[in-house]
Amino acid sequence: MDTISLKAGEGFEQVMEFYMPTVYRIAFARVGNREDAEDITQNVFLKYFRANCGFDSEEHRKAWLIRCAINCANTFAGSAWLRHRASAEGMENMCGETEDFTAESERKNAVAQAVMRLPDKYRLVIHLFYFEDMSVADISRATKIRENTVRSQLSRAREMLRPMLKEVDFC
Amino acid sequence: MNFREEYIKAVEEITPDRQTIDRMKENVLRMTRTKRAFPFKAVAAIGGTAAACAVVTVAAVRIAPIMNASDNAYMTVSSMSGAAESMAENAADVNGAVNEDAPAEDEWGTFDAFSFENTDHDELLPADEPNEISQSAVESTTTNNNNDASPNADSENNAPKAPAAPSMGSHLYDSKEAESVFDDGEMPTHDVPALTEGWQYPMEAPTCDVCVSAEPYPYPNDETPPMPNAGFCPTEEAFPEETAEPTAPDTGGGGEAKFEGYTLTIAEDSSKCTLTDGVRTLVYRASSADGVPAGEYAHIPYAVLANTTDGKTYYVALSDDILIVRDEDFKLFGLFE
Repeated sequence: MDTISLKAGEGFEQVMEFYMPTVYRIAFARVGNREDAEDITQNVFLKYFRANCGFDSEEHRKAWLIRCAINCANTFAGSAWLRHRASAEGMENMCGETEDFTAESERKNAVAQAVMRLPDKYRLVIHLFYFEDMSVADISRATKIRENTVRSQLSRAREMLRPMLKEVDFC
Repeated sequence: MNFREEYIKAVEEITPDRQTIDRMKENVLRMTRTKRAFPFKAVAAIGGTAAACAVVTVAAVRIAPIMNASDNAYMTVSSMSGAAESMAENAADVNGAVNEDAPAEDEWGTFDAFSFENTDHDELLPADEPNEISQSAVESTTTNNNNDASPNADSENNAPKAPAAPSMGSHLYDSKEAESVFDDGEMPTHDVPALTEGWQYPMEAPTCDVCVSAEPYPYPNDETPPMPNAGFCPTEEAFPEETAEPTAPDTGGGGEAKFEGYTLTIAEDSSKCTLTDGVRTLVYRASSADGVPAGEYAHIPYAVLANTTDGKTYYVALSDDILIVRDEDFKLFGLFE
């Protein structure tokens, strides 16, 4: 990844190879559906290719892709077709793949279900903060939300998760 | 174990596998190679908007001066130049004639049926149409509104070029006479003149050797058609003898009436007198002599007429068709005319 040019048109396949899982997870965290997440991911990289812009750093490129993924996911989630679709479909997709019922898998399913029950805006902030390991400032820049708002959304999301994960034993 | 680790493990479960990533890459690369479809929808939308704006602009540009001229009150027919032009075209089409000299915009200022009829009939009625109705018949249809001279009353061409018979599309049928004629709902034909009193058929002039070159209608079109005998040859006897007026005794050109051979008969009540030469009899009725000066008729030549029925001698003179009779003493006996 160190040798990839910062020009969008150069090393396009390598950029897709590296950032596609990240974009896919953000889209999934927003829409909660694999197929929709795939469509959003492809649309994000298509825009990236057509934008053909240069970036100052690799962090800049990552921030651009995250921001584009959030916008595309919001646009998709705001569409009339998705609004009339069952909201629990994504949660079923996410939790129905694991067949083993060990304690570890049970904890992962419980955490995933608890996060998917959160409202959309809280779910995205939790994902960016805990999984993408972004700071509050980075999240604020990516989502164009004020830092205090991001902090309050994180706090409210934790408050909502606490009763849902009460039975799960976190050390 | 904390929430972060548990959440990372949970999310890694939804990380796309290799096959999914390759499929997405392939789709993205394929879409980047294909050209963008021509944006017909956007072009149509932009073009339609531009066309609508152009139409509105042109309409506003044309209407604005009209509204300003009429002080935003109302738009008259005359102000709608387009309407006037279209009406002119329609008029030409209705009459079956190509009216190249369509009235200008101002001439259509007050459009109504009558002003429309006042247009030149030469243009509305081409001369090459069959002439089955006389000129006077056509005029009787347009009498009320046809103020100008008939187009056929040309001084240079006294033999009038009769206008064509009005057709159903002609504006002549828009006149009141035409409406009255057609009120019964019957289809007008060329025999329509017989329905009205004003319609008259042309009278043919008699021909003879003297007046072969006589023109049949030496009268302007707006005059009353002549009587039948008015066009007869002047060499013929216009009036038969039995209807001729009796002529007074010839004065001989010298101012003295010659009453030779005449017999004067004065009625007993002096109400009338009669002059007769055996062939003709002239009757004069008494005229009042009151107010006539005594010296009046004194200096005209008198004839001595002794041949009277009462045996007296009278002095008789004619002046301005007045028969002056004086008695033997040259006193004014009476005036007869």
